[in-house]
Amino acid sequence: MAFAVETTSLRKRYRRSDPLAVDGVSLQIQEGKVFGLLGPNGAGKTSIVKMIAGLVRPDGGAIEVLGSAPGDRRARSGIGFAPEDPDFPKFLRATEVLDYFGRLLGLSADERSRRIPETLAWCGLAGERRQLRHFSKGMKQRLGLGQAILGRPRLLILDEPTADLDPMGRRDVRELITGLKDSGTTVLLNSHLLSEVERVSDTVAILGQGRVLAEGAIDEIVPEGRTLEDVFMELVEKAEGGPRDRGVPSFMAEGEAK
Amino acid sequence: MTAVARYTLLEMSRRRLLVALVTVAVALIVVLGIAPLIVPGFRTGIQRSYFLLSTFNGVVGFFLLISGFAIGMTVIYNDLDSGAAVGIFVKPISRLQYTVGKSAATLIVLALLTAVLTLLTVALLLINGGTGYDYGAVVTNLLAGTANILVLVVLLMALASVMNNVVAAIIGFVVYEVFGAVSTLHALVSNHTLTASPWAQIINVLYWLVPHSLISSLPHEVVRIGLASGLVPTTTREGRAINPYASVPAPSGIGDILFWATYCLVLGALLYLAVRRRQV
Repeated sequence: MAFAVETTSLRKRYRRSDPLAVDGVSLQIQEGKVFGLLGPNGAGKTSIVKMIAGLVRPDGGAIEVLGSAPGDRRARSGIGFAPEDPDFPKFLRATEVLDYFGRLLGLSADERSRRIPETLAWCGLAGERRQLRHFSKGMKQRLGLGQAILGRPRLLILDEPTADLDPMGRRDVRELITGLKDSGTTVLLNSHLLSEVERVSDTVAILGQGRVLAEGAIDEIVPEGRTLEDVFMELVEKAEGGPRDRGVPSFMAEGEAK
Repeated sequence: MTAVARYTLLEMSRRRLLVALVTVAVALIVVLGIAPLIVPGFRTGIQRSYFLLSTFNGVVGFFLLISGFAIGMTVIYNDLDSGAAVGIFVKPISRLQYTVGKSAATLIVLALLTAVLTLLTVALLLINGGTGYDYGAVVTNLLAGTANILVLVVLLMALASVMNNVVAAIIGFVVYEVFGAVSTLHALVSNHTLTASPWAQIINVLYWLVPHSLISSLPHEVVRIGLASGLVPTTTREGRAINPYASVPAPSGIGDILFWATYCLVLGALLYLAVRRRQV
């Protein structure tokens, strides 16, 4: 069985006084499959995807991406990465950003002139002439997805890809993932939206406090009669040492709202 | 690498602050350039030339310094701070290529600014009837000014890759002023104006630790024109003879230029290391 990504005992701490953001995470992502990474805020999901993308250095452990070390030129040629909160050089236009990134990917002029209009159309940004500094968060997120698929990657890493998207945008991302899966692309999907992950993923890993709490195929992790949300909440609360029901702040219940 | 340089140049051309700076500088130089033709008091071409050469130097130097800060503080920092670097660094381009691309774009912008200022200065000197002096000194003076600013720009780029760019600018400014002060003190030691021991020896050692400000032959030329126009005195009020060239620094030699180039390479290497170490 070939793996697109394999991590072994991955560790990361940002400051000496901080707890480990990633604490001994070992994952195997099969080629051509959709892998969902789930976890509450601060579970270490983004740190893991950034280490896989070669943007953040691990403190310990090993990573292999598409048969190479992360950050290696060969690995990066095969990766498409849509970050959680994408941003771009703010004085450029969407077409220019894609042309810039297309050149960095080594695409020929012919390829760029073919792929860029199609990508912009898919992003819903065809005909958009404004500079990036005038874009909304949703528009940037759509462009972030566009630049991630521009190089036709073997491994697509999506970090909270639908956070700022409207329902149509979410549907487009779902269709993209399904389409890529059919074409043999490996997808690493990092999301809070459990229902979305459940619909498209072959395998999921649930993280809590930097550790893997559960990993496997959806039907292995979710027993019959229960939902992914039930399992997720149970595992996360157990890892955190108690239930998450914090109630509302007491002042919210005092008298009438002003 | 060329993609990084190409789109950095495009970005810089759209930055209103830089465009405004260039516009103000050009307007100010043109006003200064035509002032001697309008304002009474400048009777001969050589008097007008003396005024122009002595004022242009300060205006152009100030403008290049401000532009240096505007470029050095933002050219890499903006990518790192906004998160744009995430999309770039995940592509198959090395950090070295990225750094070289950014540096090349910076160099091109500085070269263009220098070319515009040189052409403008020479044109205004000709309009003012300035003949009989060394135009090469005007050109090399602008080149030396740009070369000196380049050191500051690379230093700011490196600092802004590891810290907030305002803090980097403050540190860069202080360091740059210290460099300038050491060069000035060394000129005094070289002229035998400052001979006190052990300060002269300390300054001589410090001089080889800081980048040498490159100096053209323009200061010498300005004094020469000043003497020819009668605007520079050759005696004191008491009638004692003075040497007007005594305080004029000697033009930089090949050794100074090589030292400057080595310093630029060292700062460039530090910039690369700062970009390479950076996690985004």
